[in-house]
Amino acid sequence: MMNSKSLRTLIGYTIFSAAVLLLPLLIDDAYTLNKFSRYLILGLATLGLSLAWGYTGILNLGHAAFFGLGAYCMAMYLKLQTVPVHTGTGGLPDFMVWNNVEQLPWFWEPFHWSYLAITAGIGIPVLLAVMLGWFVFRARIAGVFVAIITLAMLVIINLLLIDQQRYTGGFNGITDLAWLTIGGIEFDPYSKTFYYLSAGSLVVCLLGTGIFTHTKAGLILQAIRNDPDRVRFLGYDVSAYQILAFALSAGIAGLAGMLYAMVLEFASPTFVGVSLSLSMVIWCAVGGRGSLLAATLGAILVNAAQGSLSENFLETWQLILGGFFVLIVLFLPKGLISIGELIRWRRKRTDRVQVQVLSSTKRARGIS
Amino acid sequence: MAYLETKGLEVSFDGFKAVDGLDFSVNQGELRCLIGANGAGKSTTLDIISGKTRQSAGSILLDGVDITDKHEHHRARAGIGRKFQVPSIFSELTVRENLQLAYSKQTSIRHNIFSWPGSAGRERIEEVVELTGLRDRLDTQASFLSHGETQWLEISMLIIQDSKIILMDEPTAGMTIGETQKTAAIFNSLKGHHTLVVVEHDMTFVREIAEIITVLHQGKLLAEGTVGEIEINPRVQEAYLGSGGISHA
Repeated sequence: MMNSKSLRTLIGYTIFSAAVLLLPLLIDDAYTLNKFSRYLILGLATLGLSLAWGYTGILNLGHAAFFGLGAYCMAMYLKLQTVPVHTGTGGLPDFMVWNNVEQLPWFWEPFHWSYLAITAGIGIPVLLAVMLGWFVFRARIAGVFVAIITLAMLVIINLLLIDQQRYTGGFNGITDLAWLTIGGIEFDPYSKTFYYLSAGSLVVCLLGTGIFTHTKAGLILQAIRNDPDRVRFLGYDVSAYQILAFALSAGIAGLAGMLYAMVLEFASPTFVGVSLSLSMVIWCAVGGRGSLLAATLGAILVNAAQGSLSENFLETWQLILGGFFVLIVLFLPKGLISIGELIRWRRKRTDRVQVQVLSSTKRARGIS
Repeated sequence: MAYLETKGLEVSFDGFKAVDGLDFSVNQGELRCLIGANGAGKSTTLDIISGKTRQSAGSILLDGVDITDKHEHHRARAGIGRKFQVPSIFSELTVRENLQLAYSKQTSIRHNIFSWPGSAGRERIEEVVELTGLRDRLDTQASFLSHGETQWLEISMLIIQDSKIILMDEPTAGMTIGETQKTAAIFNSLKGHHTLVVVEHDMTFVREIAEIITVLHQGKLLAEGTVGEIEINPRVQEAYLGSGGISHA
């Protein structure tokens, strides 16, 4: 049994997935391909955010923390793969040599192995989300307070990364990375192979979360966004479901972060920055936070617009983009996805106005 | 033996004792009406039993098990269902989704991430929408329902939840006479299978459904008895003086 809403969602997902996977047929330019990979990766991160915010009502302003942790995990692995070009003779990353570190710190050791690094890139954000969620959601903290706590978490991690320069590269972050090679496949960030890695990750996550939101658990998450108390009186453990959504969201952000470090070939504290984190919230809102696909598209569109505007309007592009956001918040509070709804509503209103005009003319003539 | 029992229940808000040493018990399968003037502590009593409000003293036993320190969702699983004074439904979801959520026999994450919302309880939902007349509204978003329909939806959810004991806070508030009569019929059919505690102001409705009435006054139990006994009880009449007598409460 499938209702029209689910059918529309399925069609949307299919068109989007096909478009994303077929794009390289139209693009031959390596630079453009790399740019699109980057947009898709940011779309993936925003997909994660919409699962927590749009679906469950957890306004997470620190989403970039999960994203950045994933990026650093991948960067640490790829840095150790550059032996001995960008590492000292003892396999020590260059910035550690400059900071007089003599031996590779213990927590860097596991990052010699790709599988451990990839596990950490998803596992560490998930673990952090579960721990934070355990304290926050069990204490029934909600709304703006969740936003403040997640923002604080982001700032703490950001400061730690900058402060621990000896181990993290400080402000510069971890630069000059190798390309990821797995099973003999080399992921050159300017290649179609890498594009397919990003696009494939996005499509798999989108379909996976799409299916997940249609399960009973997904319905419970939406109910929690609507009225958590009611959910409790039905017997569901609200905090457990909130932790689940938060952890899934963090895991997706971690994956996106790993890909981001690969596409830009570095990881820096800006990945864990307040500015990026808030931007993700804006992308999500622009696309439509109530829909996973809309939020993803929002991120891709805004970044693409940002890219082309900044190339064409050197001085004023931020102003144009800002105006665009204001317009959306004012007229499309549910995001770009609701544009169809707005048109339908306008049409209905025009009809009603015409009826009113008609009846008032009748009244004026004394017909009624 | 009493099915639900409270002993010395007490709660205070900023020094004001809303419930003050309440001993109250209901037998299995009974429909009990809880009445009293405004501020008598009726809703607060339901809040404490369902876990929404924490008591400052006293204990609650359900079927002989102490549930005093349990969280709301544990109480719900133990069999306590609650309808609120202001209808509390998921306004952003459809009627069908609301009912699917109310079918909460399986509450664990491990079960619910591997099942579809419609995979269980379909017959039960069909039965209940037939009973409450919401069949045509199944795919309507709940925020578009009329006030009466919203009340019906919440009552449907409670029936589907299949709680052993259902606490209803003014289920007929805002209903038309016809709707109220239909509600009375439903409640009478629930007697026996479920234990119901109903807070109600509408005495016509109370007369139609009640076996035994409990009257609360200033957080204490004032009287308990059949409708006839309560209406001629001098202490109840005294407590209701000023609000125009029990029939107009």
